Amino acid sequence: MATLKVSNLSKNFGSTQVLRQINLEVSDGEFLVLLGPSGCGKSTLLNIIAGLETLDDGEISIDDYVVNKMEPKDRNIAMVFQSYALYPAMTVRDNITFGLKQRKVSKEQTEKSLNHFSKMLKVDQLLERKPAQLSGGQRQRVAMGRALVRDPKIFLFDEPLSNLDAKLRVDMRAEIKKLHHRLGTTIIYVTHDQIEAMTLGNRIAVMKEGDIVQLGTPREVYSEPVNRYVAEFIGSPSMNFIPVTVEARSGKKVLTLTPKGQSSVEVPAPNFLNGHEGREVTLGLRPEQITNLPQWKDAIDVHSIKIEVEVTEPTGPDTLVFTEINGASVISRCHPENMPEDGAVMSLSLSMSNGVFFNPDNGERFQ
Amino acid sequence: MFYWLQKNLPRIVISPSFAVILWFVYGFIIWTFYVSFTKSKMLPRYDFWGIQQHFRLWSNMRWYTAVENLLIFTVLFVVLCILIGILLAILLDQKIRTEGFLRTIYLYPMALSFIVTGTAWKWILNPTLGIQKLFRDLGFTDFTFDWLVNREMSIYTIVIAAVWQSSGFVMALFLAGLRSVDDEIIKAAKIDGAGLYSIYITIILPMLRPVFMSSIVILIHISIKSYDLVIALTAGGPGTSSDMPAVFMTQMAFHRSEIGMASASAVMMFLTVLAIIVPYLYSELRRQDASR
Amino acid sequence: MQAADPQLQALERSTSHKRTFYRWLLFLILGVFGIYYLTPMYVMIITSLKSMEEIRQGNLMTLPKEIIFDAWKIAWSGRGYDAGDVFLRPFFWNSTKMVIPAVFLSTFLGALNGYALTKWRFKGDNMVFLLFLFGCFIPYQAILLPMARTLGMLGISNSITGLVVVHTVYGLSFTTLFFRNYYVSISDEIIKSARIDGAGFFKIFFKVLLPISSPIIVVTVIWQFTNIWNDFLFGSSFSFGEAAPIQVALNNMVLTSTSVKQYNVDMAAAFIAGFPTLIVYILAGKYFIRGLTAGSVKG
Repeated sequence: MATLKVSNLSKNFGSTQVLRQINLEVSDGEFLVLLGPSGCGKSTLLNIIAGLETLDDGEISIDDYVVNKMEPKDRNIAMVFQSYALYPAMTVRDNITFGLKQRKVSKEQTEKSLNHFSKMLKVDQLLERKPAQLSGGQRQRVAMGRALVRDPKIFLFDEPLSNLDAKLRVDMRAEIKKLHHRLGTTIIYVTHDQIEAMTLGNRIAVMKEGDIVQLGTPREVYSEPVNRYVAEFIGSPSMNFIPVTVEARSGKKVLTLTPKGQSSVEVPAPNFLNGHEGREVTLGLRPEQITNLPQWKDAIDVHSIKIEVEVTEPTGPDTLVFTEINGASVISRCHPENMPEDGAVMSLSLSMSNGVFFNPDNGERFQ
Repeated sequence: MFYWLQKNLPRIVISPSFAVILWFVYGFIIWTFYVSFTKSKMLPRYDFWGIQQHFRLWSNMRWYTAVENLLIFTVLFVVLCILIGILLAILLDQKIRTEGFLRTIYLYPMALSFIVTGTAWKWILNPTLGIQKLFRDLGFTDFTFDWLVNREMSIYTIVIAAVWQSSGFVMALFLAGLRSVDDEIIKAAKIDGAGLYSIYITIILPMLRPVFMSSIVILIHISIKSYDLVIALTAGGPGTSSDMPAVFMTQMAFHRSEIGMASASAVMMFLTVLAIIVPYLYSELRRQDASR
Repeated sequence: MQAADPQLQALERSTSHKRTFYRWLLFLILGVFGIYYLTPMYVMIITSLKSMEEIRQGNLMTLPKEIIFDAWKIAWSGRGYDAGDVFLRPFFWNSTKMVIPAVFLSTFLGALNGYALTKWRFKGDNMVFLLFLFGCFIPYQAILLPMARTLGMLGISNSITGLVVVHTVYGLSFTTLFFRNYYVSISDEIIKSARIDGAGFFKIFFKVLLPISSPIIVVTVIWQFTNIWNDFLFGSSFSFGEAAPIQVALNNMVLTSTSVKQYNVDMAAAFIAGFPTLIVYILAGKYFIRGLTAGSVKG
């Protein structure tokens, strides 16, 4: 069990800066997710933490000891890779125990750990097989077993689920979470899948072009995104972005929402928009904040709005309704029952209490 | 009619080439087989003579020298090429900035003909003015290097030149193999605590078994066919001390008017190649079917 | 807190020392092998630029005191007298006249075969391919005698035409293999879509497939060029005298040089004979290597 601290870390490939002044602290037993699109530097950061790549500037410490110049094998970490990286010429048994043999762990101890973890991961029947004879899910389990037997200070996961099919991915996701609960290890997990990040992480570091844009709990990055980039990246379907102008109307600030072909609705603007009168800002509303679901009915700051249904997409538990407000296309999450025909007019409730506002010039959030 | 033509066009297109291959490869091989069972001398004769030519071949001392030389040559050639090839491939795989340049240098002999190679090495190994003189000029006045004219050693000069020419090729094969190894496997091994040496020995080289197989088969194939280099370097001499089967065959066929015995020796070469190639192709094609 | 753990610090230091040491060792070994491969070429070039007198005085590695091109002139265009004067110029052109049609024919037919074998599967196509493939491996000694007789019967023995035929025939296996492997990797859907659009067998080949075949054409042409230019067995078996290709002429030159061995001329001649393939290698090394590996890791 261990803590990790990354301070002012920078990395260049030639003249392109792939990581800029990264600061990160992971506490003992924490599950931290590095989230971002491909090319944002998240895998590079993980490789640098592992010692597989060098850094140009800054410091990495594990348990307060600076490990910058240490070889990966001396850092006492374990890593699970996207391609699983099992050694093709070795059996499952040899794959799992390879790391222990390199560290000259005694035979009895090796055998004991092997038994323990292969049972836990349900691969104890597969020990004499070669990786080529395993299914994707089994390979994934062996790769995790190889990391677990080592009992390292920190586990690193590099997109471990992205080669699995959809159903297996959901199963393995739950298993990783259970393992974390059970073993209480420190985990750093890289993914581009926001659902994985939301479901697994204690905290999420959202990355963009070599920077950590926001570091916070899943709830924070979902409800209080620091900018439009984070708001857009997290949540599916994505947050709606509606251009609105802050207007002063008889001493109050209001915003006007005009659904396509329907009459306008005025809603009060929050206080932090004071001083922005006459200016255009971007209103961010999650699809579930524009809905016909009954629970909104008595909430505060809820407004009724009539929209024209362009098209609907049933997803099962709820139905997505596509429409247009202030010229921006908007998705609303509705109850699947009694859906009107395409082109019909429909009444929805719009909850402004969780609405967020962004500066259209730089994407930063007003607060 | 038109439909029939459309339907069979692929066969029609390929049939001339296929006929050529059937006739010039398989037909000719059958001819050679048959002639090896006849009394043919200067001109082919087609009356059956049993296995007399094969009997004559295997009681010919010169053929024994050729076969023995082939064995010595093949073992040394294959082992040295593979050792040098693997070593260079592994070293070049260490993220060297000058890799492209070095690779070009290591592989250029492969672009030269065996005759050019032989001519160059004949001059370098020349006992009066070549390496021997170089070392004597450097002060080693007793240094002797006369392998080229030494009956015991002449076959080894062919090994030297052949390894110089072909080892770069093995390097290229192994380098391509190394490059196809998933980078994450190496990373995983590093994290597991393996040093570079044990990563290569216990993980990567076992993964390259197909490359070993291909290299060995190709190198053996080159040695069985080797003819040009022997002619250019030693012409089979001194005497017949560096003779090889391919040289023996052409000598018998074109200079000694022993068409029957030449055919018998060609049949031996053919069968040897067959014994190596058929299992190789079989496993190779099966492996591809499995991966498909 | 283990910020000053001396053991770990020692580990760090020794790791970084070891790394520099291995790096140097690595470059040393790579450099030594570089010299090993380059030395024969160096020796060839400097020897060709020396006079025979200087060759006898100095040794293999010494640079020429005075650069003389006489050996090159003799190797290329002879000494200017008739009897026994072997020089390369006419044979260089022989090889050129042989190599161009042979490369063109074998490449074109190989492309057509590869296309028919992969994109228009017919019954027995795998067997046909296997028979082609096996042709890559036969030791040519097994076909040498009947080929010589066939060329005689066709009246083209000891001629450039005869060699063009031989090289085309025995190149077919390789060229078919190359194109077959390349076309296998090209999606069948392109062919299907072209057929739906109304294109026939040849139209698809010339309009759809050939335009995207340039990489494999380059590989095949280089492979065939190198092999045919460097061939000695067929050249020496089926031609002699004036119709010989350059490798045969080079070997004759080295063997028949008069009373005293003219090493400088031999080296100049060897360089001339190796020059075209060397140039191709330097200019298109990537394709050359691809051919080598494709021609070896079969299928």
